[in-house]
Amino acid sequence: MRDEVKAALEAVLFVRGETVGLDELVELLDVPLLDLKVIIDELILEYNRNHKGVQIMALEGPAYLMCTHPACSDILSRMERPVRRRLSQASLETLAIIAYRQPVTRAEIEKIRGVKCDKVITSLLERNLIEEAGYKAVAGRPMQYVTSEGFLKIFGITSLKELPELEEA
Amino acid sequence: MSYVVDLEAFHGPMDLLLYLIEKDEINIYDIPIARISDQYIAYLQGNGVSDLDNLGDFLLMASYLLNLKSHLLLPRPAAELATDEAVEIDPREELVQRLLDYKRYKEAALTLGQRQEGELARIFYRNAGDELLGPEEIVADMGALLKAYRALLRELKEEEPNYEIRLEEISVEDKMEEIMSRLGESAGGMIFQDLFVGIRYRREAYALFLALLELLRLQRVAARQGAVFGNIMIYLRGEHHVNER
Repeated sequence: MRDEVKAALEAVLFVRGETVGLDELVELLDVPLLDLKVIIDELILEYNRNHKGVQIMALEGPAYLMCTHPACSDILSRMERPVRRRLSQASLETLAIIAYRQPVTRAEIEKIRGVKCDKVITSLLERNLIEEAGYKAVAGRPMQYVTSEGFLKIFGITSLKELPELEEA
Repeated sequence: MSYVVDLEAFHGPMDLLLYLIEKDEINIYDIPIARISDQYIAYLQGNGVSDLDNLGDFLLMASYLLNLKSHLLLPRPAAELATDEAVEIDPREELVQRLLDYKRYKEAALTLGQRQEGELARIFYRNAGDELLGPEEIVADMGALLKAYRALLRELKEEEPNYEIRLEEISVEDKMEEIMSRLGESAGGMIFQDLFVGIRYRREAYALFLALLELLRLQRVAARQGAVFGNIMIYLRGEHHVNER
């Protein structure tokens, strides 16, 4: 029974490829929440103990994610992928400002970068790296921007809390 | 493996200013404004800013620096000195703060880039890959366009001395229409050089190039260069430009 649940967990997390909430797992596998939690923890330990290239991460929520182990990032980055798109420095700078200061308006970004950012913002929106997050309650009611789920995936983090601390000014 | 070609050397006035300061290992809290503003302006004059969209921002910073420079050079009125004594504020303070702020995000951007490239240890999601939507961010600048045009001109001979007066006028308007209709016929844009096929006289080439510049200015066509020294492609706006506004 235990092994069956573990097998099912692996299958679900593998196919999803992104975070899966504990609630959803309970419903899918029809196992009581507390039991399931114990089994997942065991599974996570097994992966870690055996130094697998794939790991299961327990995230806030609680939710779980099957992803690669950081030890493999070097190899994966060298792997040829059919489409490999990098971002320009302008895009990266704008993303960094949005990531650390969200929600943030275009004017606030432009003040820091010292250049117009309308095109960059449009392209980041089209690439699903940022999202609109309502208007700021100041004169002119400018749009505010936040980073998206896509941002987390592209940069290999599970939550904004994992962003490295900004250097002290 | 494809690359982002960054033809813009500096990504805005802050980037340029930071470069000038770091190049000479200047203490950011004690910037020699006169020297730095001279260097800043010399750079703009020497290299120019090919990115016309941002030219205004570069000039704005230049005027800010000059204003700061004159402020520091001019003696302040005695009355102001007396009242200000206790809270002496360095007029450079705001600039320093902005530079430091920009520097922090520039470094954060660098780290993000390294994460994306897997140069820093990171996890990979299964489905996310690196499949960013949209085209690779490559921009061709005015300099590249001009260079291609000059190379083309060298191939066209000067008009033979000919005492016949050419009666047909070559107008830029006609050439603009010609470009638009030729682009309309060729889906996927045209290579810059191909626009000049069939042109025999420099005068006609001038008109065609002016027409192209005008169309670019009016944003009716777009120019894009796929790689350094690659072909410059001319597109009709409204197709093929997910990247543009």
